[in-house]
Amino acid sequence: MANFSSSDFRPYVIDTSVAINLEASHIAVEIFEALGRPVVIVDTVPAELEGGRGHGAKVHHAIADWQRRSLAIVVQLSAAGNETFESLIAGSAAATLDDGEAATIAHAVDTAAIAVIDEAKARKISAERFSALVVASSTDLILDPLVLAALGKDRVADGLFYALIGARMRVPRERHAEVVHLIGRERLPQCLSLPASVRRTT
Amino acid sequence: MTRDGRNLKQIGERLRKAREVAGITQADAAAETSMARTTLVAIEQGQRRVRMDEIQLLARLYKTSANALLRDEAVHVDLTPRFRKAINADDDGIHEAVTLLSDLARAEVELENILGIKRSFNYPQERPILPGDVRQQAEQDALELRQKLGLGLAPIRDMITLLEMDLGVRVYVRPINPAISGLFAYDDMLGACILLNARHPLARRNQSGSHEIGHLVATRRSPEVLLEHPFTNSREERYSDAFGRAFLTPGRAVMQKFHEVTAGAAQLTRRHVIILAHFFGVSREAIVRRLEELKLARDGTWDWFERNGKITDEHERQVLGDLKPADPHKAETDRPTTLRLAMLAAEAHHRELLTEGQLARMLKLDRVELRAMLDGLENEEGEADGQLQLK
Repeated sequence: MANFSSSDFRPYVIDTSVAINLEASHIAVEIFEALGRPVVIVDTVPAELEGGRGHGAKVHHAIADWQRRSLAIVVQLSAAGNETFESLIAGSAAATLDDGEAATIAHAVDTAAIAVIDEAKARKISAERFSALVVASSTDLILDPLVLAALGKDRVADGLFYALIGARMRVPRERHAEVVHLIGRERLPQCLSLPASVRRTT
Repeated sequence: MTRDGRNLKQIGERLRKAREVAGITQADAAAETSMARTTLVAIEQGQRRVRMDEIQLLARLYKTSANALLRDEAVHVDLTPRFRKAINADDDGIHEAVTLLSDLARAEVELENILGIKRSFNYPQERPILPGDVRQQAEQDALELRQKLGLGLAPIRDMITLLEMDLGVRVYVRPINPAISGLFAYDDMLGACILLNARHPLARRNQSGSHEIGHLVATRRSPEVLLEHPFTNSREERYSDAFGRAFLTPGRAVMQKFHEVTAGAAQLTRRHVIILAHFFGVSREAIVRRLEELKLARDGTWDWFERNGKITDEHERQVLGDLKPADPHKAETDRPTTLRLAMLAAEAHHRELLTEGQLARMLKLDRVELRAMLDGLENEEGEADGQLQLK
């Protein structure tokens, strides 16, 4: 897995979990506009959310809205993508991923795009199997310098906070300090998806 | 599981079971996926290699995932066909309850397999019902099981823990259709599984659980839907009813306690009934019926109370006050899944054996519900701060 850099302008392929986090931030549209590049979603993701309750249904509607605004495109896997997909979903539980996670990685590998995925196991499997694949997280997108420049620090901080409390977004360890600094101490106790140690030490 | 020749049959079998769980006919599945019915039949019989795009289409139609179909450890057991006789076509309540029991048991077994947990079963010996008096057989079998479990004649304080920890039964307490008291099913892979209605009061759940142990003893190969108002009176049902009563309220113990509680009294009063029901953890009606059965009260005693002001919750509150038992499993029923399942899921996620997506699908949870569940457990664990390391 290659390191992510915010100056890498290849398309983002986002996973179900990332779509849920961005929808919960209330600033998904502004984030996509600021990023200035297509956000790609493999059709497995809306299929997973379709007919779901609560958050699933809301995010399914949100994806349709992003498509209407031409901020996101929903694609199908190619034949090569399907082969990678199969290698990621068939086998032992420990070595496989759920369909949305696998399809996101497969499409990103197939099109040399950036896979946006928060799940630690999926990131580990990507690193082991696709050394050239660049993987980013929901937090990377929300805290992208382009987003900060377009929306300002306060709106980004609010979006981050809403994603944390509304979707219980996972934040990679290396971005904990930045996130804590941005959302501020007073709001930290409400962010139960941040590790207890992070909430306590500040 | 790869799609090579060795696995075609197994994949076909899994697809067939997934279709049946979804309640879709072969003809409808073929039409929905623009596939010839003969093609689907050949795939399900393992005679034709299924393409990945076909697996994805079928997975979506069956509301599952390609990963759930091709994951080595996935458990593909459906209890629904066993209940076919008990489920009327229009009985959504029973169908939903059976599906829930299947989903919970399947997820638990797969999580155990993934984590390498070998669950120990301690089922009572099977005792087929013999010709003759079923009640007598049930009383004897119930007493025998009590002895085996070291219960003697003591009251059972926690039926769920007894079922789960002492007998190794998979037991779930979830809110289901109020007309259903419980479900019982036995499967070679899943073991004995019981679903009890969280909407029913604790005393009634104890009785339902005890009744289901009767099924486990005598008729474990026959699944059962225990209705609040059963309309069959088969020997099997009479056996389980009698077993349930004898297991919760052993005759000798009821006689002893009855004499202690009513010492010096000329009549059976509401207070006596309430104290006895509380002691044995059964409903007021159940203890009075048991007193009638044991000839400690006249036949028709319960009906007399019913006609003459009943024995109400308010009466119980006046007699027991703070002694009224808390319902230890009620709080758990508000969780999106059972405590044991949640802990297994958290462990599998923590060890990076299963992803959020895999777990959400397995437990039929919304992603955010799953995250809340995992966060809750992580916070509880955080309290220990690693001081109590298990070897």
